[in-house]
Amino acid sequence: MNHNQQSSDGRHDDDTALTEFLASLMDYTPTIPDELVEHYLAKSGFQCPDVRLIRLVAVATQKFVAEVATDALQQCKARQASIIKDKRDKQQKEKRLILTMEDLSKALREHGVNVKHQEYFADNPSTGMDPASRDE
Amino acid sequence: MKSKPKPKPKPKSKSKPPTMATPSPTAESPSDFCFAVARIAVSQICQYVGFKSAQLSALDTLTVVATKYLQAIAKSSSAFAAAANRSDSNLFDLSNALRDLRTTHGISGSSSNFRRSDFCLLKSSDLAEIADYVDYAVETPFARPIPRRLGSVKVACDNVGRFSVLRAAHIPNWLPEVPETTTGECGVVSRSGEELWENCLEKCVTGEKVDMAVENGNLELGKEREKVRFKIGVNLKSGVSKGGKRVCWDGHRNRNGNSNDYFNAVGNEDNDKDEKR
Repeated sequence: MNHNQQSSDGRHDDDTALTEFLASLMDYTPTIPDELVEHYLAKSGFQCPDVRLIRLVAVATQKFVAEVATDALQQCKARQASIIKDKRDKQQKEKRLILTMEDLSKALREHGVNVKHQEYFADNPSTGMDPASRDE
Repeated sequence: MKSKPKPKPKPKSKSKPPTMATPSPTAESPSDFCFAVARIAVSQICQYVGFKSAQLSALDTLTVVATKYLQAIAKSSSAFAAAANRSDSNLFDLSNALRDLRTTHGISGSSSNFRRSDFCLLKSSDLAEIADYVDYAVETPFARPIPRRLGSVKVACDNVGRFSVLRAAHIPNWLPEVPETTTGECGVVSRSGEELWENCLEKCVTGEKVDMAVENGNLELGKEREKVRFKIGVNLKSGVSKGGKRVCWDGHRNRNGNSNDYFNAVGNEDNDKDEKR
């Protein structure tokens, strides 16, 4: 009985936390716009009239992308830390944070996605550099 | 770790080059448009995380993965809903789907989802993590508003002239309005009072004065009005109304009796005023 009571209390707390979280989703605007999420949801058969659930999907996707990007950023920094020791002052470190295919594939592999790009995949090496150098 | 210089103006400078450099920037088909929008969102997220720039191929890959993830959530949760004999997904389906899509990072609390005795959604670590993310992540809205497609707006205003807001997605656009709701609406409206006419019939009134009066809220017509013209329809049941003014009506809009009341009200307002007061 006692245990039952306690667990129901805990459940009550969790329920209020959950409702608060869902209510907070109404004010939060995710980076992924609602229209896009609705389109993809409708495309794959998801029906729900509740905006909060759509927002929840958007936030979940955003969180996933942010995690992958953070991992890629760590890969990028770790890779550059070894190089930069030799030629330190060549460039500022901040300028060289570029999302590359190499780091991204490593980061995605941690999340269970195997990315294989071609061996001779020719991406312009100056693609990522242009806007950064244009800024300063 | 995160050095984010200026959150707002950067996305444009960053998300522009990829969209311009792609082979098909104009996005003819809707999937191209969706992909372009998704790529802008993904690049905004990357920029928030701390990247300064991105290779196009990497950005495309991440966008593809993100859209696949989104669709995987949707498919999985709709499958859960279908397994429970529902067509609408709810929060439980969604949290189950998120749990399925979870990779091997942590198992804390994820098995408690199916134990009904102390069943609680926030104990599943996915939702808790998402709640934490919402709490801590800085809100970065999408760079610019997404235009609604013009075609859909045009379709929403059907050929009768009424805006059909509540048209479900599975109804083809060329189908006319469902008749029961409209006639029922009009019947109720003309019986109970005049206020709801503006919902029902405002769109087909072409006289300016009438429109102005309707906007004011009370359906009092202006004292001196110019001639009110309607489209000439086929069956003129009330072609000549009581005051002798000739008023015609669109044939396909003529709904027995109810619209005739409306003619009388518009066509000769003097008579109507006399009757009502």
